[in-house]
Amino acid sequence: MSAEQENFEALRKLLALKKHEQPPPGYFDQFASEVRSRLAAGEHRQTNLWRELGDEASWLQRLWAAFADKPALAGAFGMAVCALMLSGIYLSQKPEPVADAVVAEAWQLPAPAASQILMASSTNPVPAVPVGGSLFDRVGIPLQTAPVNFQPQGQ
Amino acid sequence: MSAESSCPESAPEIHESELVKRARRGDLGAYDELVRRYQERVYATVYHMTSNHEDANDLAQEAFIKAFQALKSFKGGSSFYTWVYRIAVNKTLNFLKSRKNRSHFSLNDVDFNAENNPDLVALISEKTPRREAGLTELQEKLNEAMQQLSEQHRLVVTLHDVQGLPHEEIAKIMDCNVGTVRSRLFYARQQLQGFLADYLK
Repeated sequence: MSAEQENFEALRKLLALKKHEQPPPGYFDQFASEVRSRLAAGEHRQTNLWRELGDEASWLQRLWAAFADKPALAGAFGMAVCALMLSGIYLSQKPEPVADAVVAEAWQLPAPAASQILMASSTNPVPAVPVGGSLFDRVGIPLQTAPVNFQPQGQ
Repeated sequence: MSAESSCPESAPEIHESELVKRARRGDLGAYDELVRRYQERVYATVYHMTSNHEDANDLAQEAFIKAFQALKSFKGGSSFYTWVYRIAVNKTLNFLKSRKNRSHFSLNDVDFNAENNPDLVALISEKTPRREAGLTELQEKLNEAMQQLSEQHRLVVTLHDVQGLPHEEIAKIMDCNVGTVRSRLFYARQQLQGFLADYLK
């Protein structure tokens, strides 16, 4: 047996002391009944919220523990959050140059042709109206105009 | 709840899988028997990890409660014992992470058999003529040294050197391979050896 193994053997003997550490007498007589009563009472639903949260999201507890251990880290985190909030507020109030450029460009665009609008607004084929002509020209009847009399009849 | 499962005399004869089946159907008596079978080992593991009786009591009870709630998801791929152990270990590791650097001891008393352990007697008599004081001091030093180990290394030492579980069983509980268990055990022993050098001469 090497010296290292002999040392581990001494350590193993020392660790045997841990086996002799025992809870108070009668502790295990009550243990099962306590578990059972907690189960029956549904107490498990009211267990410590923080511990339950820790089971589901241990990263949150680790983060919290890191903050508790290092206040400087917590301060830096707080400052970073504040900076993010302030920059968010600043950006939300600043006029957006991109939107202005789009509006200006829209003003300079030529108006779309009527035929394009008609074709785009319906799935049915609609005959295009010739630009510049009048609907009355297409009817084929000469237009007659008569003066309008606003006087009541019999007067 | 069946009368059979409630009777403590007949319970030890019932196979673990049968008890699990009954407990899954809501038989608290059957679950009671499962708790009785493994309570000491589960408690001891948590206690040696935390060095605190009150924390160990809470965590061990919560592990059994969580196991009961999750019993329907227990596939039976491993023994109930390994499964509940794993739940207790995970709960304990999460707890230890949350209380980092805020630990305090609440050690159980050493039973009178320790004074009759020839290995311990040899260690104490070389250190101090007052046997009782020697045991208490040794216990405190040992727990301090254990708490200086990382959680994973402490767990391996607890399961193997204190509780006597084989490497294969520890690998299942810790969800790692046997080689990792062996290497962690070797490193943990080396660390403990350094911390307790004065008591191992």
